This record gives sequence, structure tokens and C-alpha cells, in this order.
Amino acid sequence: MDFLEKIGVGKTAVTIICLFENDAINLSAVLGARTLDANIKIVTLVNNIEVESKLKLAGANFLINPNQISAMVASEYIGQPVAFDALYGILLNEDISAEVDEIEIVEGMQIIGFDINQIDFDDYNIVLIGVIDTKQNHKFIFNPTNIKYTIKQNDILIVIGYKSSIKELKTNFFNNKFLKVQDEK
Amino acid sequence: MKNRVIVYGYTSLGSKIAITLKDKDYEVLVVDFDEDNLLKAKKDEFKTYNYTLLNDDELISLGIENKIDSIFCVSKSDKNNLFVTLSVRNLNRNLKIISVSKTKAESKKLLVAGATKVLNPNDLGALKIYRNLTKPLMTKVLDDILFTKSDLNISQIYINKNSIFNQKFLKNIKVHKQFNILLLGIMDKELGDKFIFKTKGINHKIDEGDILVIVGKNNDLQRFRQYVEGTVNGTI
Repeated sequence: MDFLEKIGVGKTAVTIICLFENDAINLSAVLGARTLDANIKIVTLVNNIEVESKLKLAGANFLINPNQISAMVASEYIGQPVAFDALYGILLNEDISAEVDEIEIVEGMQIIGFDINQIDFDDYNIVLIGVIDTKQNHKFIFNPTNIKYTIKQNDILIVIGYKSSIKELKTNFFNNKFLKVQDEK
Repeated sequence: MKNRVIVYGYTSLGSKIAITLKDKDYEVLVVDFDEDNLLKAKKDEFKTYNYTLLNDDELISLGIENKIDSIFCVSKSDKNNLFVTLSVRNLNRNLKIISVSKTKAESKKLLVAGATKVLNPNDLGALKIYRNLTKPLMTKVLDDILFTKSDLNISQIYINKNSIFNQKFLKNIKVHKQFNILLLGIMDKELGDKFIFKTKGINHKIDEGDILVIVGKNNDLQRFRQYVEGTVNGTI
């Protein structure tokens, strides 16, 4: 506890990540951190699945089980290796050509109140995967292009594209340049 | 027929793989040389074999030459995993071999020995933590698409000679929009199996052997697949 305090838990630290391969040490760190700070975000490794509930009880917010993740990746991979490699490669940033990113709709963006289909994503070389609707308990709406969806503040668009394209689109959300060309005709 | 897979090593990772695969309706054969692990596997109701797989006869008796779809080399011994990877590749050129390693050097060796994919649990765990801290909502959505049995899934379509997309240009394909499907890109055989993101400036011509990568709802994916392949019952 002394040590945790010394490194800023309970004062300046916002997140603590416990990565020991010994679950008992992680548990003690999680417990200590939660006691010192009710709001700190605690991420911890869990090596033995039986300890999972204990770590949660001790106050961990997010648990990582590397074996579990590897098992999921491995079993998904053999079904559809190409598709999986593609999306996972983009996620791992292995493929430098494109990345998955989120665009949060913030106050001041001119796009608020417009139908999402008025944005020409193709023109930006961006694929829109879907929207997270923050007003509806973070419900994910896949491929909203076939329905009418009005963009609200705090929505999050999930897109795949080049870093520069995504940045450009974000910037354009603040002015009126995002609209499809046909609207200007 | 069910796809048959071998899990070599009922370790803490191996057992998770075996259970995940069983849930997905694969036929799982568990092979191990450790008595305790074999007992665990038996308790979890798997078909078990007490083999080291260090000689080819054992591999052949399991049908490695033509009856197995994939093998996971995840035993507690790195040396054995490497050896088995090499033997399996030698007996069957097309089988998927997935192995695990915690270091770059080991992973390189496994790839040279013929592994299709080497996973690094540390890398995967680190990435997961990073993504969860920086973009938690997005991470959840993508994990749902990739891993869970949710309605939304990622899929691949192999382009054969009769496919309606054969000889078409990637950019001109618009029909997927009617199916409510996202086309992410294509894996091109001629370009060394490199994945091409759909929006890359190059206008790529699709031909036989290419593989399209799509995301959509299960029903739509199935309808789209039938449409592309020009058959009603066609599968890969």
C-alpha cells in the first residue's frame, strides 16, 4: 500500500495495469489500488480463470486473459483465415495502408443534424462500418447507409481508411465540405 | 462432415482452444504426452491420444495426410511444438498449422518450419489492453464482429471461374450495397497474397483465385455468397 501511494495511486494516477504472471500479486495490487482510490481504472492480467471473479470482486474494471484471447483468435482464424487476417491486420496496424478508427461527433461539428447518407465516404476512400448511438445505450448500428440516420452529438462513427483521409474527414465535419457533390448542383 | 482438428497439448491455452472449437462444432482430437493433461481432457469429454507425435507413424495414424483440417501445436514443450510443426508440414502441404510463441526468435523458427500462423499471447494481450484504454467502444464493436456469435460477422468469398465478379473491376462493384454488405477489400493471389484495402487508389481487376473480404449480417452474407458464386447451394 505504501508503495502504491508512493507511485501516485489515490492522487495523480488515473489507471493502473497489473501484469504479474502470479495472480496473487495482481490481486493484492488490485485490492490495494481500489482501497486507495474508488475511481481509478484498474486493468489486470488474469492467468487462472478461477481467479477472475475474485479480481472483479477486488475492484478490477477490466480483465485480460491472454490464453483466452489467443484461443479465440486461433479458433476464429482457421475458419476464415483471409478475412480474419485482413481485419486483424488492420487492427494490429500491420497493414500500414489502412486502419480502423473512430470519429467522435463533438460539439461544434456542422455535421450534427444531417442524414449520414449525405456524406460521401467513398469520396474520402473511407468505409463506414457503422455508428455507435450514444443516446441509445451505445447501441451499434451496422452500415446505416440503407436507412435514414440523423447524426447527433456524441455519436461515434467507426470507419476504416487511411489516417490522412480520416483526419481530412474529421476536419471537414467542422465546416460544410462533407456534403455530397450532388447537393451543390 | 465436421471439420476435424488436432489440439496438440492440453495446456491452459490448449484446453481453451479445444473448448472454443468444440463450441463451434469442430471435431476435436486432443493429443498430449502429459498424463495429467490427458486426464483433464478426458474429464472435459474429448477424444484423447497419448502420443508425443515425434514419429510420423503416430501422425499418419491420426489421418494427418488427408483427414485433418488444422493442427494446433501448443504443448508445454517448445521443442516438441517445433518438431511436430516440421513433421506435419512435411506430410501435408496444405494443412493449417497454428502455433504459439512468446518470443520473436521462436516464432521465426516455427514459421520456417512451416507454421501457417504463429500467435503471441503477450502481443495479443497488450494490444487488447491498449485498445481498451484508448478506444473502448470501438473495441467492443470490433470484437463482436470478430469473435462472438452475434449476427454481424466477417466473411470471405473465394472467386472461382464462374463467379459473376470474375474479370470485373473492384471499383465498379456496387451490387453489395443492395445486400447491406460492406466490401472491405480483396486478397490477390498474383500480388503475393497481400490484402488490398478496397479504397486503395489502384483499380484492381478481380480474377480467379482472389478472395473477397466482406462484413455483414449472417443472412445477408449467405445471400450475397450465393449471388456471387452464381449457385444456390455453393460453398467454398
